[in-house]
Amino acid sequence: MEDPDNKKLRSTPRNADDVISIVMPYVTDPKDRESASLVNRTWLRADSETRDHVTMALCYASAPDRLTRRFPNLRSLKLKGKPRAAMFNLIPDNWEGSLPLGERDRLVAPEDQVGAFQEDDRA
Amino acid sequence: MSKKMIVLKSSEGVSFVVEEAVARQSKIISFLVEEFPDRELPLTNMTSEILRKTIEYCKKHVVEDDGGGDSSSSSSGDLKEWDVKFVAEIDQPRLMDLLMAANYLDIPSLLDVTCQKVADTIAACNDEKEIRATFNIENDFTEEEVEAIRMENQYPI
Repeated sequence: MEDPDNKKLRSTPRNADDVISIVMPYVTDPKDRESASLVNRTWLRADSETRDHVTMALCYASAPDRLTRRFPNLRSLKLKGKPRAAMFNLIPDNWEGSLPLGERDRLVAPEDQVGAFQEDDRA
Repeated sequence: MSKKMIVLKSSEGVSFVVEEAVARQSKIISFLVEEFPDRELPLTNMTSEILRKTIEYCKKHVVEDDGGGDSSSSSSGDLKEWDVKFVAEIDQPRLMDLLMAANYLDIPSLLDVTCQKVADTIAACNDEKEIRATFNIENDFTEEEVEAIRMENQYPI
């Protein structure tokens, strides 16, 4: 008994697009994730959906809504706050990036989404 | 005492007679065996070749609990080595098929080694172009989209 759907399925060779959503959690190096996200739309989606941690080298590098749109399952975020310029007193006192983290939450993501914050003020 | 055997049928209709303990490493088969005992289990989305490979893996990994003192013939180190060799010998399209089979049949350890092998291949590539070439994948991004992702990629370290 030949199932036509089945035959069709087998005539299309399976490729990495079919498995990338399963494989992506095994790609752990951030550099590899970066390359993987640029392969095509399927790979970008697989990367976005399986990333639970992001480090931002500068806390204003991306708008909060962009960040949460691209990484809907984000659970932790590492912000590098104080730029090197701080060493030379070039940052105004009231700059938002130097606010205590609690007050900075609203800049980043809804509280229920981001479970753990790490702060790293070493530029 | 004879071991209980079950019959798995590939998409081509080829029957494979397998010891129940071997086949039960698949959580799906384990479930089906209990629900439908003494029945042939058709695996219509699996070719004979992939089913044979899957069974070969399960045979190697079955925990032999009836062999007396030494419960298993191979130590976990040997088994790891065997796994590495097992996936290294499979070409890429079949590796994908095997990964999907492990996913479908719910065999966690086989899914793990096949995923790891694909992830290692990705990690061995220098950039997205090399990944596309390695896996023969089309780029469906526009240049603007690539630029936007590249910009965004600068923040996650």
